[in-house]
Amino acid sequence: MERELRYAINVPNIASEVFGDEVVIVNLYSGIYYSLTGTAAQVWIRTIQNYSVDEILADFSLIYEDITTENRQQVTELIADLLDKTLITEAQNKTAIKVEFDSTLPKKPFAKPQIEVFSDMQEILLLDPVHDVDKNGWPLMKDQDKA
Amino acid sequence: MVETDTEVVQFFEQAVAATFQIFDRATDVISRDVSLAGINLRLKFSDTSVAQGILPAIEQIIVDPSGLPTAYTIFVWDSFSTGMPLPKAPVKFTEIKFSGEITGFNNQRFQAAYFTHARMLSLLDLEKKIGILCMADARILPGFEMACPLRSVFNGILKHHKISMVHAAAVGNAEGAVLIAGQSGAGKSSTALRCLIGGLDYFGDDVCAISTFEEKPTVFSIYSSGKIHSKDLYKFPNIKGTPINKKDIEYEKEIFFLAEAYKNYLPFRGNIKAVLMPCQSGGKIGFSPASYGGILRVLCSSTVGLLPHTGNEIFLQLASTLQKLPFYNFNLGDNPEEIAGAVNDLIKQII
Repeated sequence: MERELRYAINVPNIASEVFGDEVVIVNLYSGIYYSLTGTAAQVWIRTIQNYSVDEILADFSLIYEDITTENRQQVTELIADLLDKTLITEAQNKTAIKVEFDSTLPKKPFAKPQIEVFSDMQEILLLDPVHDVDKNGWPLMKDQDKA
Repeated sequence: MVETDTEVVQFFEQAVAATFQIFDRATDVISRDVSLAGINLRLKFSDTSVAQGILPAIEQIIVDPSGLPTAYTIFVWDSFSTGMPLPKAPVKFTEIKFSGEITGFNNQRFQAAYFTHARMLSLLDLEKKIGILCMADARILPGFEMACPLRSVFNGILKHHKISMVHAAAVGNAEGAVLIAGQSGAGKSSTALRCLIGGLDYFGDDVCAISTFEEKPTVFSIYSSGKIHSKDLYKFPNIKGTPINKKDIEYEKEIFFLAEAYKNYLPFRGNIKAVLMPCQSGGKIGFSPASYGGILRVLCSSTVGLLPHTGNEIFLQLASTLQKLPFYNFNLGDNPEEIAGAVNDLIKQII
């Protein structure tokens, strides 16, 4: 991953919102949603404002105590995971939109950023895999007769 | 992927033309007027079998024709009984989202969704105020679709009128209502049905509408169906209502139509006093303050996943509408018989 690359939310497929300290992200194609808290939420908030990894870490050095090499790697891995889950994409913007925060507050300990994944909406419908289409081009499930 | 607005207009025009052709020659058209959160709709079904798949779950919102112009007309038909094939798919099936929304065919005027499990196409033209629901065969409509029919068209109309459909149950009494949020399997339906059996009003067990513009948050009833997991059916020996025996994909739940048996307990609207998230922690039944963010997260994200044409705006609307309400975790306790009384007491306590 190139550390100077910038990212953006993968609209229109992805919707997200901040609730207090938690970010909720929904993949509108898959029905899977994600919850990010703590450092992960802070990474997301900056990532979708087109921050690069280095710019995120620069902010984090003012928010968290003693950022280690391992911590830096964890942030990088989270962004790689967000990319892998297609929640973010490479940004066209070449400048970040500044995220305001109070850098005079006491620094907090850094906790490994993590993503919680929820797929209960998929379980509601329990869709069989689509494997074919009917003669008009609409998808069929495996137990549906061909039209 | 659709390339131009012209393709979208053409697709809708073809679907409307096919629909008008069906209804011009149909001899058994069933027509009903409904009040959807105060919006008057006229539903027209191509024949009795199609109407039977849709009407039982919305019987409580059917109104007498007033003679006034209806705001929208919704046409419902199936290919089996009419011989009319579904309109040709305008996109590859990979461009249909999980919630059914068809990529490229949703804008300020048009909304389109396709539900693979029901082989059902839902279209809405907000400018001409016409909705269409067409399906392959109404006789094999999955139980889930019969429990919450027309939800894509309803959601599009409600959203246009700044009312949100949400994935939540709601119950209440003469003094107000509570919204019951929860992930799938959390106990929304069973809690709502316990309250109904216990004498509380019932606004729905899975999908309701919430006004996002009135001074007091208001819940509107849309569906009078109820669902109980097959393995839990023995716990509800006293439930009345009309069961439908549908073996379908909806995780083996038994579906009941409640409008006839509980017609005095199905109000049209209620003021929301609190938002609850049921949990089964055992021990004594009770309420404890819950995190606003945690419940809203569940409410919003499950709504986005379930309902087509719902995106980021639902987060903002619900956060704005519900933020002044108290949020509680609802420990259902060991004795289900106490659930209705506990909810009733809670509503009475909230000013």
